Amino acid sequence: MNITWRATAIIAATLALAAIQPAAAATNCPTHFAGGLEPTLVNPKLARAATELCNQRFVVLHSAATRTPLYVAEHLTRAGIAAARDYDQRDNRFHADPRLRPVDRAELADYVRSGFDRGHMAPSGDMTDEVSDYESFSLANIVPQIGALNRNSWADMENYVRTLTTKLGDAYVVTGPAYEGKTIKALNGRVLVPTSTWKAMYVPGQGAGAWIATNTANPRWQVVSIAELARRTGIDPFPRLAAATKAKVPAFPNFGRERAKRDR
Amino acid sequence: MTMKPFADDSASTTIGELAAENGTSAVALSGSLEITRDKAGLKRAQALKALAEAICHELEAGDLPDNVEVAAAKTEDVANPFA
Repeated sequence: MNITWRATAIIAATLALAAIQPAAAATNCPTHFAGGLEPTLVNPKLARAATELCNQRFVVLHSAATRTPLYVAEHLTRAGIAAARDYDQRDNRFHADPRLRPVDRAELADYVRSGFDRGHMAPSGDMTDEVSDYESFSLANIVPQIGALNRNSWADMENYVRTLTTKLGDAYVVTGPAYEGKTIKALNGRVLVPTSTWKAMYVPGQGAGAWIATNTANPRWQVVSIAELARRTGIDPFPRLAAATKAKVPAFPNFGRERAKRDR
Repeated sequence: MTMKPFADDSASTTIGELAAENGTSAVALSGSLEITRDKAGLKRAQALKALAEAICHELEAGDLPDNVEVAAAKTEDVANPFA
């Protein structure tokens, strides 16, 4: 980390401070969303303690109830992926997000020796420079993820999304945690551990769909339609899409181990 | 690479698709790395060597236990705020 970059990061954080918006208001950073419209919180309980945080290459809807993002949204382009792949060696640092009140946010200590990985929702591998990569290391972009998922099939899926975007030109991607069931595990009594994590992808002119992977030692993967994702997570990532497009299950690869065995 | 192995619980360094995450009790490496037989491959190989050397340097300098205690997931159950 050099001094110039540190100064840039501080300036970026200060600028972003002015960008905090209550979730009820229209988005302050529409360029990251398909059709300029933020995801719809179908489950109204999600909106209760939510704050939008705009970043250079992605936007986060952060929840003080879970101290994690509820979703992050990115607009990926072929040129952006090429720049991210050229940015081959990177140094960075996980950090609590200075735009959030300490009581509302995850701290490094919540994750240390918890047995969980700090799983990026907007991947560091999509970031194109030091400032955007630093933003991706904010704990507002992180959920507690089992290492077996984060380090293996989830990383493979993120790579697939980059490769598919390069092939097709551009894509809107929304990623987040799902909290299903009556009780949820919490790290340090503060940071809620998602039962699954999901990623939805919309390629203009091509279609849309999503993956859901259980946050378990042997992750189970499902490829689902946008409508099914919204039903499961309470979040409609692409509200402007036609119902027929949302109902279609995409021909995405499944990154689960069962599938890999079957294909062998 | 600016990461000093084992010095903190926040630093991260990435070479291609290979990520190293620093921790005071462990450094975790995950991902994969393709080293091509060209100048870009040499840069990656040198970065990997620098990382491995820094880790070894820190370990060699310390008075090490046979086995450090590895973290087990510790969580508590809370009500689902969205159910």
